Amino acid sequence: MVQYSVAALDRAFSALADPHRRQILDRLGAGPVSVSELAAPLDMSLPGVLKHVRALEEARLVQTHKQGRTRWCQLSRRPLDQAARWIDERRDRWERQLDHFVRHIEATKGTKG
Amino acid sequence: MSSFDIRLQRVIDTTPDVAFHHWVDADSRRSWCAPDEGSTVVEAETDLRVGGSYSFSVVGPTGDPMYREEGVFEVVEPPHRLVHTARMHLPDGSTVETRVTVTFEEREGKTLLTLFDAGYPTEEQRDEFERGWPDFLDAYEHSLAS
Repeated sequence: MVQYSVAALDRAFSALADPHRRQILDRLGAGPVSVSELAAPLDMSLPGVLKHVRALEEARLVQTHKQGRTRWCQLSRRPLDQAARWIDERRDRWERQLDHFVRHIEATKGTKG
Repeated sequence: MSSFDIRLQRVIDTTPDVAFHHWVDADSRRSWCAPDEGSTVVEAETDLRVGGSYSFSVVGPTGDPMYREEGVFEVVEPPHRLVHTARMHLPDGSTVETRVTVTFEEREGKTLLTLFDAGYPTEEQRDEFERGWPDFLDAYEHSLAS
């Protein structure tokens, strides 16, 4: 099984536990966006958006850089991939266990039938 | 249609004449229009007359274009007043166009610089640029001192 950094997973999942931050990630999926463009559809003030961007930055889900008088945000895929893999691995394991269980039931039925 | 403006003031430790030319001359702009670490002004031109234009381009540490700005002078009254349009080309290909008025007033041997950057289409954009301007003013002051 892949080794995960516990702290990195904690940071990623806790950053994802907010609808505004998930909306920001959705938006960044299409490419880098300036913070004022991020703020516009969110109906949120710039300081409010910057607070969420900082939380996403701390979780390493987003990278920002200043370009002259504007600040740009872009997705950082790795932590999101790790979070997705953590979920996938567990789902696979549960599905395998369920398969075993179903086969066991069917085999048991067979012996009685 | 409503628009949003930025107004900033600073006292600059020099005369209005020096402050005015350091603000607008092409050679001076090479020294302060790229305040981000690793960025460089690669092209700067100033044709200082009413109807004349200016431009400058900035690249990042790897030489990738970061932003470009250009405009046309509407009022040129050295050393006290300058009005020009400013079209900023942003990294995503979009542009923002505003009208910039800068005044330089003598205050006890120093200069009160007032920047009025007017016409941002959205409040968010104004707020973003308002956060970005101080770095330019810091770089401007710093390059005057060096």
